[in-house]
Amino acid sequence: MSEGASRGPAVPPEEDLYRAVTVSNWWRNGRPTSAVFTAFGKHNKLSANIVSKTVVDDIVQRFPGCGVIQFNCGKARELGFDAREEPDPHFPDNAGHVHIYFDGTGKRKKAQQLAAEFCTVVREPQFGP
Amino acid sequence: MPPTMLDGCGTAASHEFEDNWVPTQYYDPEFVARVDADLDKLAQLPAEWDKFGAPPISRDVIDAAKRFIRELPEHLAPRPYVTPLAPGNLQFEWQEGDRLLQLEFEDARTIRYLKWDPTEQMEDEDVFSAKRIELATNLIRWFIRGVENV
Repeated sequence: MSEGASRGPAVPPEEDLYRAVTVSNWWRNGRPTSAVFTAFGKHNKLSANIVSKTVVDDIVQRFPGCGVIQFNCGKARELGFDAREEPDPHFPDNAGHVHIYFDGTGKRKKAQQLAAEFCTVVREPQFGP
Repeated sequence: MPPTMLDGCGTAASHEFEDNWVPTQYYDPEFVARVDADLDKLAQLPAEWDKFGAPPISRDVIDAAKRFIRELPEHLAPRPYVTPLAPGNLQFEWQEGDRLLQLEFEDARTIRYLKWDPTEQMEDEDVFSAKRIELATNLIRWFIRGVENV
């Protein structure tokens, strides 16, 4: 069975997604950097949450001090980021969890940069020293 | 302390040197030591450092990045941001406004770069061997030239 067939249900394109930014090096000048969207090789998927099924404060509670960004699922899919509803391996009660697989070919970094540019900031991070 | 910018690298007494003329250098005697220190910090990251299952940064990648930094020409550029990436690799980044250069070590042998500048409609991405220091140097010079022209 291919990896695509083993994935969870596709997230509808009209949905928006939240992603937690948990690493201080991934935040610069009040914005996330493209590193937030890096996925390839064995580590080819990212965690995110469906906005309509998620309370943003719950994300911040799971990852204290994190930033939260928001972006449209359909627009991300056009760049090669395919969001699928799948269980959260770290927080099983996280009902809105998705994995985002990067399916683009070739220009991975360009896709990451565009994704970082079109997302909006929902919560500024409060990274410790 | 930020690196000091020096204008010129001598007097352009002879035209034979014009093709290699470097209008600005970034005098930074601590460049290698400070970037090394940043890389050492990445080497200390434990598994799950991103809270989402990231593996530790590959030792081979750290060592390759250290070799790379030592082989760059002196006073070429300001210090890069040294960024850990979730697959267990890392990248050097230079950014000024929207102008951006990323040199990502996909593994110890391969660098994937992104040249990005919307004002030049520049969105160039490719891969090259980490041994090709002259190619990396040219990419960094591209970034520096744009910063000087701002």
